This record gives sequence, structure tokens and C-alpha cells, in this order.
Amino acid sequence: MAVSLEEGFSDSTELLTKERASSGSRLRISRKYSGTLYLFVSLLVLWQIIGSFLDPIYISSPTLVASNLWEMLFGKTQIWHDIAVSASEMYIGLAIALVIGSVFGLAIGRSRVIRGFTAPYVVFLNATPLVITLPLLAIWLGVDEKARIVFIVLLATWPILLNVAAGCRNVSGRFTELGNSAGLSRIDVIRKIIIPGVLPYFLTGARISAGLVVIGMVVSEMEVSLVGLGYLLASYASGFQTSKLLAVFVISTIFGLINVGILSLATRLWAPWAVLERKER
Amino acid sequence: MTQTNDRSLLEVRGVSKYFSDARHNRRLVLDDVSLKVHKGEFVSILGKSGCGKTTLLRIIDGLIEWDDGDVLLEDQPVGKAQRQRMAFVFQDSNLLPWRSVKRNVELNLESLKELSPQERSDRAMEALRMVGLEDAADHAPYQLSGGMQQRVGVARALARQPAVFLMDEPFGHLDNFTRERLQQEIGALIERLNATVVFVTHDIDEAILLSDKIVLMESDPGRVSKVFEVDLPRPRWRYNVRAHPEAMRLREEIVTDLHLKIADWVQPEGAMVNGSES
Repeated sequence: MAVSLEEGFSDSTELLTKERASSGSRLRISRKYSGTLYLFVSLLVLWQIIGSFLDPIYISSPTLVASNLWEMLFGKTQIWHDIAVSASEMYIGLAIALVIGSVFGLAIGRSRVIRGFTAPYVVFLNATPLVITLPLLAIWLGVDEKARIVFIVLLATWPILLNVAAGCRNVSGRFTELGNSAGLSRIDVIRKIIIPGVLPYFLTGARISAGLVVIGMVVSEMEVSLVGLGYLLASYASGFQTSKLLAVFVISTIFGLINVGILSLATRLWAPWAVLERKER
Repeated sequence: MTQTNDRSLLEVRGVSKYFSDARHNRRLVLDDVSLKVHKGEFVSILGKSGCGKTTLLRIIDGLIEWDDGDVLLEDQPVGKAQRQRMAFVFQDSNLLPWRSVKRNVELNLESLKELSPQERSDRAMEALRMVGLEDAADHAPYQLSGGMQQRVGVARALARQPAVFLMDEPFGHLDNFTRERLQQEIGALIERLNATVVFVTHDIDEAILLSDKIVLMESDPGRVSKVFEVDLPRPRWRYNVRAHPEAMRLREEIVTDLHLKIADWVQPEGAMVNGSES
């Protein structure tokens, strides 16, 4: 009896919370993210406290990182050129990866023959730590942005390719008979069924790749560059300039967040059914 | 529905089909299947899962190739032109999630080049009205219940205004209550339109409720084992078909027929199977 009373009570409070939350979307968002925010602030405070007891070359501190970041962006030694170089490599690489990944993904997903003979290579390349290609690329293409862009493409193509291929098979299996039964031509089946059906898979792959290109950019610039955020990271690391190192780290992270954010937004805009269908279930 | 002439609208003549497995072993799934469907007739293909009944339906709609025999629509071997006059209702409603309900119905009209976009839209709306879903025309599929989704699937076929409806267990995935309701509704609609239907099901009661003729299939390989005429008055939604003596008799007959087959290999408890004494 007591248990059921308690259950009823908790139910009704939950209902109230829900009602209140849905009454203002801003409130709901603050509820959803408030925990994350509290954790973030407490970690910063903890970092600041511990950092103040140690030599800054170990973990620096939030205020030191922030002042270095300010100096880099708006002070005497600005790093906008490095940011621009890194961003251009990253986005050119991502654009090429999107095209290559989609085209080959569609081909592999559509054709059993192509799937048959490419499958071992796809598995092999996807499982290989691609960092080992960097020195080779530098030998072939020189220590400049060509090598870095190729490396970024190599890294970012796989998630798109694999997702598009899987989506293509899935959509084909589900809807090709429908298209055939409706009397659609082959072109129309691809145009009206396969392409829109694959779009959410493509966006999922692109979101993963948008995170990977930041890694690709940093790693390739650390190895094969005299400019860019990755190069700065490497040189600050070798000079034990931890605060500057972490400031560059913050910039790279912001790039990653922006990339993933844009693609999440694109998914909501262009493939809302994929998001909503998941929620309904 | 008695037929005055024997000229059938749709005829399947001696169709056989093999499936190959991964090791290229050929397995006979349909063995010399023949059936005739007259205009305005509702024919059910009744059989257990895996007996090849869905395969047969897909062959009729030209979705898969077959190995032997003919499929004729009005005495013409089915080709592209004939297939335009048939409409398939899938087991899952198979709605495209990125299209609205109405645009899903329109998909089935987009290969009919003679229709203007306006006519397509009008026909889609009319079909949705017939299944009582004109208000949901602009909804997304995921906003509909399973039963409503399946009604959209039926509307998609209706919009085509086909000579023959091919229905593959359209109510198979629905819960009991929704199934009962849709059987009545869609059954009444088909009666009113006097539509020609080939209906695949594994549900004996459903077959009796809806059909003029029931083709019972056996499996491994799939072949026609018996054809039953359903001699029940129409319109059937006016009375409780299941309680009708003829329906009960027919049900008994079909069940007996199935049980006789089962009795060939199931023995009463404790009894010896012939020839197993040695």
C-alpha cells in the first residue's frame, strides 16, 4: 500500500515536471544541459586550484590558457594564418572525402559484384592505422599541404563510404521492390528512393568524418608541416609551453564542435524523419 | 459471384520456380502452379509460411523471374504494359519515411506518364478518402499507427485503379483488433468496387471472410493442393460470416484437409509408426 502510494506520488511529480518543462522550451534546454554545465564549471575550478600548486608546465591553469588564447587571437603574435591554413586543409579534405565516400559507397552498396571484389580492401584499409601512410605521402608529395590533404581524405573517407554503402543496401532491400512494383524506371528508383533514403546514412557518416578531419589535420601538421595548428602544437610541446599548447588544443576542439554541430543541424533540417522516427520508437 | 463465361482476367499456367542457395543448390519452391482469376473475383492463396505463396504473387507482379510456365493478363503474357494494370499491397506498408502520406500514394502513379500532376494529386486524395484518411494526407508516415499505415498501403494500390490487386498478407503484421477492423473495412470496400483481388494469407478465417475462391497450397515444393469455392452471400459485412453454417462447414473442411496431411506423420501417443518395428 505504502509502495503504491509512493509510486503514485512520484508519478504525479514527474507529470508536473514534464508539464512545466514543456511550457517553455528554454527551461527544458536549461534542465537538459544544467548538469553538464555544473560538471564543466566544477572541473575548471578543480583544474585552477590544482594548477595553482604546480609548475605551469605540467597542467597550466584555465586562466593561463585563456590569457594565452587571447594573446594568440588578438595580441601581438596572432595565429590567424595558421588557423586559416588548417581550416582550408580540413575543409578541402572533407569535401573531397564526401564526394569519394558517397560515389564509392553508392557503387559498393548497389552492386554485388563491386562489393565482392572491393570488400577485402575496404576492410583492410579501414582497419589499418592510416598514420603509417604519412611519411610515405610526404616522400611522394613533399612536405606541403598536398600530402596533408591526401592524408585527411584517407582518414575521412571511410565513415562516409561505409555508412553510405550500408544505407544503400538497407534502403535497396526495403524499397526497391516497391519502386519496381510502382513501375519506376531504374533512374527513378535511384533518384526517388535510393538517394533520399541514403541521405540520413550519408549525414551520419559525414558527422563522424567531420570529427576525424580535425584529428587528420592536427596529426598531419605535427608530422608534415611548418605551419598550421598541428605544427604549433608540436613546437609548443617540444618547448614545454603547456599553456600555449592547451590554447591551441582549445581552438582545435572548437573546430571539431563546430563541424559536428553543423552536421547535426543538417540532419535535423534535411532528414528530419530519421531523427523523429528514432524518437517515436 | 458465379462466372457466366470462362474467360479469366488473370491466369497462372504451370508456373515453376527454383531458388538457388549460396552453394548453388537448386531448390524447387513452386511446382507447376496454375490458377485462374475471373473479373471481380476475390481469390485467396492460403498456405503456411514458406509454401511459396508470396513468391507466386511476386512472380505475377513481375518482381522476380520464374523458370517455367506463363502468367497471362487478359490472355496476354504479362509485360510492362500489363504490370501497369496491377497493384501490389505489401505485408509491411512499406511507406517512404521522407514522403508525406499523400506523396506516398502518388509514388504509385508517377510512372503513369499520361497523368498530370493535378490528376495525380486528385487520384491520391480520392484513394485516401476511400480508406478514410484524407485528413492525414499531409502527415508523415511515422505519425500514423500501424493500421493507418497499412490503409495508406491499400490507398496506394487503389490510386492506381488497377485491373487486379495483389495483396501479400496486408493485415498480417497488425494486432488482432486492428486486423478485424481492417478486414471488415477493406473487405467492404473491395466488395463495393467489385475489384479483382489475389490475396495471400495464412489465416483460414480471413480467407473465408473475404474470398470467393480459396486456393490451398502445400509446401516443399509449393503446389496447389485443393481449391474451395466459398459460397457465402454478399455483402458479407451485413452479417456475422464466422457464425454462418456454410463458413463453419468450409472451415472444418479446410482444417480437416490440413489435419489429414499432418496425420500422415504425427501418430497418436504410444502408437508405432508403420515399419518402425524392425
